[in-house]
Amino acid sequence: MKKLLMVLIIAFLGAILAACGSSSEESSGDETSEANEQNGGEEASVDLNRIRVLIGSSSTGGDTYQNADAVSRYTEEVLDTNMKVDAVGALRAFDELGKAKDDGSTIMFFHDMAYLGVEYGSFDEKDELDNWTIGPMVSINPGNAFLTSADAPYDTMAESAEWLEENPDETITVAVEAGGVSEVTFDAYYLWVEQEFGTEISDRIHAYVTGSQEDKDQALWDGNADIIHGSIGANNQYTEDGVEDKIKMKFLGVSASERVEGFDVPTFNEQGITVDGEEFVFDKEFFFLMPKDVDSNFAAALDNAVAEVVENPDYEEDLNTNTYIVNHRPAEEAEEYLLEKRDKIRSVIEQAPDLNDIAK
Amino acid sequence: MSDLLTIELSYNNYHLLFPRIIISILLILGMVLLITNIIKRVKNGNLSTFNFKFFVDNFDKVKLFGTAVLLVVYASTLEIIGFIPASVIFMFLVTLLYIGNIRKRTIMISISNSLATTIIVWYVFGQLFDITLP
Amino acid sequence: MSIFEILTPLSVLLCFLGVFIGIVMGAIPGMTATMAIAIFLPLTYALDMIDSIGLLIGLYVGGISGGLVPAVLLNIPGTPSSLCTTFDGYPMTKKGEGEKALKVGITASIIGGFFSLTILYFFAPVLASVAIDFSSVEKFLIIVFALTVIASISKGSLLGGIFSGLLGMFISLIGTFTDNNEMRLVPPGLEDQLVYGFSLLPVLIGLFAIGQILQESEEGMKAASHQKIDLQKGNKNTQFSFKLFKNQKINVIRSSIIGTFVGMLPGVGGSAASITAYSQTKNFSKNPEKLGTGEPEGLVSSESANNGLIGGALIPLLSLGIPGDSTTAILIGAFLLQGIEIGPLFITSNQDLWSGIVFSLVIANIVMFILMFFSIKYFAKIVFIPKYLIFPIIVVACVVGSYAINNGVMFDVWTLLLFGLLGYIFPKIGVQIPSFLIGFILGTEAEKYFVDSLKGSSGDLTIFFTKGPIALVLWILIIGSVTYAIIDSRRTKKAAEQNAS
Repeated sequence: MKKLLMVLIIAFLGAILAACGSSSEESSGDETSEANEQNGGEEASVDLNRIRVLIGSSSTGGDTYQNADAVSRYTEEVLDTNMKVDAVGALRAFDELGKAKDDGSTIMFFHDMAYLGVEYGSFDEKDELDNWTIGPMVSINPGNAFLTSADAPYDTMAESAEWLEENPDETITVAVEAGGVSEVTFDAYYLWVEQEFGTEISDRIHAYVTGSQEDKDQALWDGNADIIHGSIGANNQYTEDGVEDKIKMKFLGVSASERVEGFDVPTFNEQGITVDGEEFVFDKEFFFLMPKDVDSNFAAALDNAVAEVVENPDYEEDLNTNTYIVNHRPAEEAEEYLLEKRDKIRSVIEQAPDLNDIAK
Repeated sequence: MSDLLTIELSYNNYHLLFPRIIISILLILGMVLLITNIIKRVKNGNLSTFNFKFFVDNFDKVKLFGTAVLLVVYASTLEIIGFIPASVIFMFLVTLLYIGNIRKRTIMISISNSLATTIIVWYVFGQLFDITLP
Repeated sequence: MSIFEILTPLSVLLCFLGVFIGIVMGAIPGMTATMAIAIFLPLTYALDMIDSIGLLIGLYVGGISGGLVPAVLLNIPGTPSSLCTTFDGYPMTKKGEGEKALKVGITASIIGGFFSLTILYFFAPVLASVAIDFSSVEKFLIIVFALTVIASISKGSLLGGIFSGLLGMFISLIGTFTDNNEMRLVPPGLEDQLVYGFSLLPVLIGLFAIGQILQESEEGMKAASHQKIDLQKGNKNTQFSFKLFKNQKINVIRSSIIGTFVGMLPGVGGSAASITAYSQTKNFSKNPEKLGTGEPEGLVSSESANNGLIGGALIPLLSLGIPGDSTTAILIGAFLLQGIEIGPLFITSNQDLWSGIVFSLVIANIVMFILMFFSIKYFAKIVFIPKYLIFPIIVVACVVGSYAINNGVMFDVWTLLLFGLLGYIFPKIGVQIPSFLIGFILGTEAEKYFVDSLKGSSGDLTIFFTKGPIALVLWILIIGSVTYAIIDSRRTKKAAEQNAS
């Protein structure tokens, strides 16, 4: 009996190993056929069998990873190569990009935090945009938003300021992450309140500085924060009908230029939030970064490949399932656009309150 | 009283708060450990005799330092000569060192052990699982 | 709804495969369940949701369970959560009971696995809501509670043990504090390498594996006495029988509950689960002095807790969209890649997928048990492989694992060697490695929740006592646990003195 069992198990293990082997053969087979095609010499293809795509986030559940994954999956087909997204976090990504070879085997994919972090001093000066080759821009996460608990006495960011004005004993604490998109949007809100309502009101706005989205959500549930930074993609689940009251949230506004389709969330612009009299609009945009002296053939190939990918309806559909939208700018245009965007945002950052003063 | 139990928090110093607490406790504990040790020594009357011995009796100098040196050399050469050559050479030498003689059989064992392990690791992890190898 | 209407044959097959690969990776020092899942995550895009879940759940269960093998046989925790398994597992191997120890561990694993699965299936939404009530204050206290294990496992010197634990916490604080992106405690010149501090995995396997290898080479690599013991000698003590579990009922249940519960708390790491369970087993044990000398009791508690953790960690993930530990944080990526939103409405709006996950867990646990229980005979033979063959293999595996854990960082290999050296030096100067490691594992979490609590209370320390009833209960548990450890340490000392005289 025992022997029989052993035989069965060995047979079973063998079968598994065989399955393991065959599946691997399959995948390696794909690679070789890809490689063959590559030698066939399509215009867009590059001479690399593997491209490492470093992303500025260490999470595989965040919007950076999802956007990187989607664009890499389609681009690798066009380029006839293999792209591997590595969620290493911003500091390490910059560090490795700085040391990377110029053949394009290591590139980076990130969003506006790439330069915001430098402006806020979270990243080193040497990591500023001017020291990289800026690649094509591919997509937007239009859902950069603020939320509060469902039973809060205000429904928009603008109303929260009015509420503060009407209730002189109240304060509002906003949970944000230092040095990124969330801080700059918070700064805009703070500056607007200061300019529009005066320092008496804005002095009652505090920051609760913390890390991940989970931490911000928990801060709201714990009562440590009244308003949190979040995104439509990540937080929509807590706003739907049927969610327990204890954890239910509502959106107070998005910073993007236009509303997100299918969501009844007003933009900052609609709410009249301005900085220095100018409307405040901030789209969270995703783009590639490459080493400064990257091989120009590679840069061109990537640029062309991405241009092809963004036309693919499957890619668009993939992005839309997670409420992201396609927003393509070829490398040259992206560079000009981003540098201009950075200069514009600089004035907000220069006037912004020091977190040291307003953090609890 | 309530002042005593309140810590001055500031954003710029978040990162120093907890390390300071830990360092303080570590220092206090270190002092306590030192003092109790001295008291014990005074009681037993052997305050000045230190018979602390780092190595065990008759320790195997060749193997200990050999291992340490090989480990360091292995790590330093990994990125220079690549995973496969570095690992094969390292494993070969370490196995030889541990067996402790240079007979034909020993060399055979070392070579097969190092080649087999390295190639399996390289194939399964480097190729099948796509893990980044040195 | 039958199980086969939901699970496709492919998903069952992938689950088998996942468990198998998971066990192998968990068993190799330097590879972890988290890593296994991260490797396979990009591949799942091509699969259907239910199939990819089968694969990933299999990897998760297999990876956590596989860590048992090297922990028991070689005194090297294959994954961080099997740290406490070494405390009693390896002493059993030394007594020639390696095979028995593995079987005890596997059985405890499947019981813990099924226990937490049942809790997940029936109580997920309710418990998730409870988990939310644990604010940073309570989480900090839970971590302190887990840290009290340092007091109960310190051998010889209680103060020495606490000192070692604090030293571990101190080392874990090196690097950047994420809230304000400020670096601290980094020695000058190493800023680039230590931005994120030392990685856990190289520290863990360095202390255990490399440290041990250095120590053995100092002693000349002689064959250990237990390598000569014949397992089949027929000594009754070395045979495994399910009767062993007769006296362990309460222990298994308590440890599984602790494992599930700690796993359920978002942001409190998986290793805390088995650490807490082990310390409570020791506190409640009839023979606490025997724990750590090769008692199945300790093994049972550590293994049932770390498998209990799996179901626990899935509770907040599936009913709130919040990952319970680092592994489930990667798992969330798998759902998002398929465009499936995980959140409070996930279970009600994805009934089939939810059942699929639970069924996959059932299958994965059973497969894990069968695969391991019957192959243990062969696994156990690892002990008989001469040291001159197995140690070089371990070194290479550790180096590869360290290098790969952060996708190719050479500094992690140097970390491995540095802590290998420390693992060799520490026991000689009285620093206790298990305590040091527990401090290291829990240090950053303790800091995060300590600072978060104070941010919420504007620096008022009394918040830790006044937060609410849960905090008070935790304080009672902490004080009880420490008092018990002190009494126990005195008793052991007295017994030792009596023996001496």
